[in-house]
Amino acid sequence: MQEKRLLRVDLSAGTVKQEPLNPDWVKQYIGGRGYGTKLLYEELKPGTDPLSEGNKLIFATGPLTGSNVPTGGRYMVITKSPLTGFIASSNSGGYWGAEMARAGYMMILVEGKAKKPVYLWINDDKAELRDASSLWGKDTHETTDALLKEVGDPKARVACIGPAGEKLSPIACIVNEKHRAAGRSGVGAVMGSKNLKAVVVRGSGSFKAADPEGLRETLKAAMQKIKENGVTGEGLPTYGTAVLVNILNQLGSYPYKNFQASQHEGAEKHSGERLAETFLTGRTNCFACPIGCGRETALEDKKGEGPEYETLWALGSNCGVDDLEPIIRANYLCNELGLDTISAGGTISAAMELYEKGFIPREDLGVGPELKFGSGDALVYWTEKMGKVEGLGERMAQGSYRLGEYYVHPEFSISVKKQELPAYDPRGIQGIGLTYAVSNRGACHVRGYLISPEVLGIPEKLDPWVTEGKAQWGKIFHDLTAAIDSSGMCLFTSFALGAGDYADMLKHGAGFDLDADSLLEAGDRIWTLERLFNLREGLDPAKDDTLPVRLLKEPIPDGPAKGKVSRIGEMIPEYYKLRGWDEKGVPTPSKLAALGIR
Amino acid sequence: MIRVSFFGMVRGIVREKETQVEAEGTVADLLEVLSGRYGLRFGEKVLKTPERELQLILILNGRHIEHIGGLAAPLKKGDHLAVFPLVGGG
Repeated sequence: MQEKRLLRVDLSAGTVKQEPLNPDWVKQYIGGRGYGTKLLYEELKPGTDPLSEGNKLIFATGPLTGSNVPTGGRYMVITKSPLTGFIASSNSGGYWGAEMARAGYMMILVEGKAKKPVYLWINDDKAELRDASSLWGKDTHETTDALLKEVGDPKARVACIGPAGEKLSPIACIVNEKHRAAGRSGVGAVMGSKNLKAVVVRGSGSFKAADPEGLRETLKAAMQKIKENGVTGEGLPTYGTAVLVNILNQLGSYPYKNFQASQHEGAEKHSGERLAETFLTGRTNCFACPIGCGRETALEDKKGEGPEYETLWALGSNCGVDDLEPIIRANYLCNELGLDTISAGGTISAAMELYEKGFIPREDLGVGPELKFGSGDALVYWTEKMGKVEGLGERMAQGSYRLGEYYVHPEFSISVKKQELPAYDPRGIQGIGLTYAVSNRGACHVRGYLISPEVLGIPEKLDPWVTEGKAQWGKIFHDLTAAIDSSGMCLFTSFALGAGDYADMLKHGAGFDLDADSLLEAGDRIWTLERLFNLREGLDPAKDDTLPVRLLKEPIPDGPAKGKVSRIGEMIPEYYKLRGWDEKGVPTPSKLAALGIR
Repeated sequence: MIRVSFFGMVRGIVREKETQVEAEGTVADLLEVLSGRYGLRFGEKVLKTPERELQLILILNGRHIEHIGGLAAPLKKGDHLAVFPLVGGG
């Protein structure tokens, strides 16, 4: 096992100190998302206001972060979410996580609140809090450039918040290396509430495998699988995630205008194919990644990365916008100002529907353009206002649910647990609806990407229109994802790799005693502990494990999936049972005992 | 006539976005016509052997062919087949 540590940062006291990790927790929860959840569960006082001094913010790497395993560069941010009131658990790539691991830390636990803006500077063993007053108000790009200059080490990596996080928007993200984000559930607002502008890290350590020979063999096999797999070897490197636009649109499960329909005639105009012909300038890889799905793009006056598939949809089709230029511009603004693109798009689309239906009065828009579906001008203008938390943008920055609630129509918020839905219509793809409904962090596709079997046919071709068997698939995907998120690897490897591969890498790379079954069991344990956290924070499964009424009652109006609604009611009872939870969705004492959860 | 649309890397192979094909029978028959028209590189993509799965996602009128009879799915006049490479994302 790597001798990594925990760095405890008390912003109220202004102190930083190193602590050993709990070896039992490592064994049970691996690291990353799992260990971070355990840490939060044990340390956070129940009922804590997410934006108060009492909340804790955890940056977590996995035991394979910073190693040479393919995609071994991921980190997670775990905290209590100001968006959902439940667990937040956001994942990011790039290079920051690997740098943190190389500095020797598996966890950074931030508690308290600084009296004035600060940033944390970690240089291997040395860690200190420094004044960040001059950076407050700056966007993520300006902040990153200024901090790299200030610490004087171009190899350092910066994770920071923009104005949205500073102003406590519950859809604010944390951005590392300017273009990568721990996006969802408002983790950026928690950072802002603590007056923590950035964490800058430099690590010079190197990864030491527990069994170098065994790891070499394992990696050889894994790399071969990644190379030979159609998705990881060719599809993602060539087109990135954006190639999904046309597929989902062809299936009629590509939500349009805030899920009022699910096919968009103008989708081709912002597809991955069109992006490749127009604004694409190159591709990028995260740390140790053989896939390289990242896209570099440029407008006439700006350059950046993305948009990813989710963003193309959220800021594009979901807002009725066809053209790439305003979508790319709004995507850049989200990265600069520190907003989650999925929630930003889901909020603008809700605002457009509220406005078009007469629930947001014209005067509330001030001098801004009308919030009309299809308006690229409105998309860009209101993204900026939301990111700067100004005018109506201040209300929009609260996310679609609170915006809808204010205008007395929260039903136009297409969200679960107040978090906006991603880019797959659960009426036309039944299994992903189950993931949205039961995901511990609110609506999310990457808690269990059932799109893989239901749309892409990997590892098996499941009919997206049926519910039968989806509960079992859901549980396996949810457990495997929890384990991958805890290892430090990227979920995209799972197109090519299976549970046994991850267990082997954790075994030879970091000395874990795991096989495919015990890896999935660790995932089950992690998922269940997240559930216990949520229940402790007041989760009501009957009310919270569901989808927006529109998706349960309003059939898709046209296209191939015409007439479909989500039938999550057919899957949830079976899912609870498979998890060993009672019919109300509460883990049973015997299940907790079997998983070794106290 | 069957309308056939191409996406992703397949566009690079066939060098067009869309075509009309006079075909009868099944999806397999249509693929054979297309292989004849577009040559070996396209043919390799649609070749299915026990060792090698079909390297394409084929969507007929908005349904993955797997769920409507696979390669044996029958065609009728006015059908639309969308041909995608194996891709993924999140």
